[in-house]
Amino acid sequence: MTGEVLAFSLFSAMAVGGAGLALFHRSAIHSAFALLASFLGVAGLYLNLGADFLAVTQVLLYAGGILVLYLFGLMLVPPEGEAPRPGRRALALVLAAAPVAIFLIAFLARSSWGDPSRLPEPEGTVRGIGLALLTPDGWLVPFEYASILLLAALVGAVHLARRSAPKDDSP
Amino acid sequence: MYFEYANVLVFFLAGMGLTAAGLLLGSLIRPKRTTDEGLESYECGEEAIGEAWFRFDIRFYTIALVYMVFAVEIAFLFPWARVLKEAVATEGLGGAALLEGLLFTGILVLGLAWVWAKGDLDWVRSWKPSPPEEESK
Amino acid sequence: MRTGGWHGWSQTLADAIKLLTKEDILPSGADPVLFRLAPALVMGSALAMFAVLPFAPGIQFADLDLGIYFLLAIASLTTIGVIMAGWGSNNKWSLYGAMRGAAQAASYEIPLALSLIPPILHFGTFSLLNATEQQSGWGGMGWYVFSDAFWVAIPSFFLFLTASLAENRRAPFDLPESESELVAGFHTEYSGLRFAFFFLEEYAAMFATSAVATAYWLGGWNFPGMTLLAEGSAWLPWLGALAFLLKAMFLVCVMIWVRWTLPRLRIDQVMTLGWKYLTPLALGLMVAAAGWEAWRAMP
Repeated sequence: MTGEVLAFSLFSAMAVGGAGLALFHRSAIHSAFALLASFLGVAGLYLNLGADFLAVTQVLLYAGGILVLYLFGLMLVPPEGEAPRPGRRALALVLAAAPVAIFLIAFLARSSWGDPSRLPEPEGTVRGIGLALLTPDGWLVPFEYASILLLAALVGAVHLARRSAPKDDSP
Repeated sequence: MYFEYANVLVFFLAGMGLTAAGLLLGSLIRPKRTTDEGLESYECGEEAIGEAWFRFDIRFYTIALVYMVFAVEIAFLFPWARVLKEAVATEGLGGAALLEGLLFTGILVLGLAWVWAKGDLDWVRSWKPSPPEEESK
Repeated sequence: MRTGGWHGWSQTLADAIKLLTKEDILPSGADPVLFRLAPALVMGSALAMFAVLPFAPGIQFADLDLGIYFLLAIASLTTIGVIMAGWGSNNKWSLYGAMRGAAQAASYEIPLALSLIPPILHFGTFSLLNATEQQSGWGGMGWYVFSDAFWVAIPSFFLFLTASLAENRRAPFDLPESESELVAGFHTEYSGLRFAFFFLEEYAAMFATSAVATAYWLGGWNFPGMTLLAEGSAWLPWLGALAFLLKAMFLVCVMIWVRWTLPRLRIDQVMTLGWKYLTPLALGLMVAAAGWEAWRAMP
């Protein structure tokens, strides 16, 4: 049990710390790399909950895909150096997030939790996910719908990227 | 499951620790005779002009976008591939399990065909004489 | 310096000592945090891959249920390390090499992952250990490339090797470090031991991908004549590990051989090959394999 608490503390510190660093670091590229710590921390939290497929997917898609996308996107914009971010915006963000945080904490405090020590060691989840994706009374329709969604995302994003292409011939 | 992933984590941390340990060991025996010139950016003897943090072409971003969509496809297809035989044999789905995966793939192949036909997969783009109206194509 | 001894066996050792005694340079313009973190991230992910490789019966550090999927995810962390190194160096060669490396790794990860689907369909598992155990038939020769699905196994094997060459930034896909135009690409500014870690990661990743190819296509530790050994023989892990290492090292040799044989591709050729040839080929192989396995499994 203590191992689980230790792992939870480590991963949640990574997730929250990385996100905080991403928010408040002055350099945009550093913020993007700080997100790596956050993504890996969240993956660790998923793993802690026994969702192994979700955890590895988190690493594959967020750390390996979204982060590269962010970095390439940041390299599209002209480098402004280490422009200090306005401190007011951070304050506004904190004020905006505070009601959500209060609501979540109040909600969590009122929830009743089972006894986690009675749970068995989690098994691999991928077989169940695969079968659930294929059964008609399971998640078959969302599975097929996801591919249409992905198609729309691909077409839309590539179209927008093409239209906003800078005219100069930078390398 | 926890034990296996803890093992992997130990390997990961050991790899990171190895770099630290190697550099620590090296610091005992390696020389430290740095000159200012030695610390400059290496540009084959020329003095570097400006920072290296310059802008990159949109092509890199487009490639990353297409990659992202197909990586999500991989994340869906891997569980499908994992259980396909089992689903066909025992779950009473039969060939439907196969067709469901192929439909999923087919829809995304349309996307690949679209970016292909629109020329977003071409790396050398700015060298071609571009048509006067890109959008109407 | 000439070292060597018998057939030059001590050359590797001498190289390691040389790299250890080289001066460690942190360029004045570099980003100190990212510059230092990049080799550690790259080495960490390289070593984490070794935890899931099934070397021999009983010799595997972590038999993950997600084995191969996990390896794909970890391999994509290396790409982040490469961008980190390129950006952190604040050198034009480095950043250019890193961007090429990331674009190339992104382009070839799709065919790489798709080429793994035929064996996953065949074995119905992500676990490298389970896949190896299923290939122990025919006196240790029930490898996937010799199975009834050999006609899809052999092309997917070559597809996997090609895509993993690009993923590991090996020639003819070594554009991220192409020495004739970018000096040394993303590790231009790295000296001594820090350079050695990037070098080590490249070879470690080569071995890891070769080991995956061995475990999924070439039967893993299974070798002909395995059934002659007594049940639970103490020799089995040793001979199995020997067979596994021989097969994986053979594939590493093929990768090195390819490096000295083929000239480097241009960046547009790399992208065209990845998206317009290998990805459609991988999709076609996947469909063929799915149809075949579904037909075979039909009750």
